[in-house]
Amino acid sequence: MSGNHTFERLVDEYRDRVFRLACSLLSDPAAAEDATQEIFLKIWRALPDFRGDSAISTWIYAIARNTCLTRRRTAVNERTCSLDEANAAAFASTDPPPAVESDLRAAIGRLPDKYRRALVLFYLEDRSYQQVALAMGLPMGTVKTFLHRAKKELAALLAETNLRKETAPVWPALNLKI
Amino acid sequence: MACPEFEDLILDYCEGAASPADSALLESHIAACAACRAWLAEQRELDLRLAKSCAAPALSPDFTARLRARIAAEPRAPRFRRLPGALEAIGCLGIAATAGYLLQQLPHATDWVGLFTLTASAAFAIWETGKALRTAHGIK
Repeated sequence: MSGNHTFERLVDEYRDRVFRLACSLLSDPAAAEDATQEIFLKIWRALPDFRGDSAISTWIYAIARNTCLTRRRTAVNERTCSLDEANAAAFASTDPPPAVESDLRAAIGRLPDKYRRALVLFYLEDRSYQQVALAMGLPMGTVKTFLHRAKKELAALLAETNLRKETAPVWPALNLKI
Repeated sequence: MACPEFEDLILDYCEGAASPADSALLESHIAACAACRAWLAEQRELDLRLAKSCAAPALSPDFTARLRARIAAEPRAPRFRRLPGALEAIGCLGIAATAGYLLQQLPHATDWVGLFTLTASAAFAIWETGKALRTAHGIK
């Protein structure tokens, strides 16, 4: 089988998975697509030297993670706004967010990075622990632990937000001293 | 809040990862525990909201075509990527072996200057060829 044929097969098989991983790491679909292009270019360049010491999927995901993390570091250095803020704003779906979901997005943005990544990827990968573990390069048990901690923290953050809303004064202006 | 010892089991149950025995245990517990029942309902709702929020956007339809175009613009990979490294290694080994041999022969050598010059030049030429190939093909 020729090198071109092998590469074409890899693109067909992995482009969507690599893109989902990039979405979970970069939180911006346009940046994730750009990163996916760069990842496959790197794969193309390095494929002749791939010796099969690890599974090809592990190798591809390692290139993808490293590329996205480098891009994130560069973006963080270039921007003045924090990454959490950017993640919370650009997270997940490209549809305009319904008002009720803004609380959820904000809460996800407040999660520690590794928990947020595991959580987002779990839903992007159609609830597959195995895919998340492969993409993040972590054991399945660790992924499950991160996921459970993320959900517990998320539930607590949402409960806290709801409580704040319930106890907030209905007419804040009435509290002002005249 | 749910009973702490049942929290992980409730999450497993929501994710479809609980074993039949654990599921039966949880079901019998939640029948009697209102707090766990409420937390399970909360987690199920959260699960649905997350699944809805985390819908993956699709890649652009022209993704593969753009990738092919970028690859076509890449410089061609050299055919023998390992040759320059191999030549450099042979050259280095040749220089080292010559030096070693001559050191051994030094006390009773007759024309060791000529022999050294010839062998070392050959080894150096091989090494330089490797280096030139590496530069020409942009191999690091």
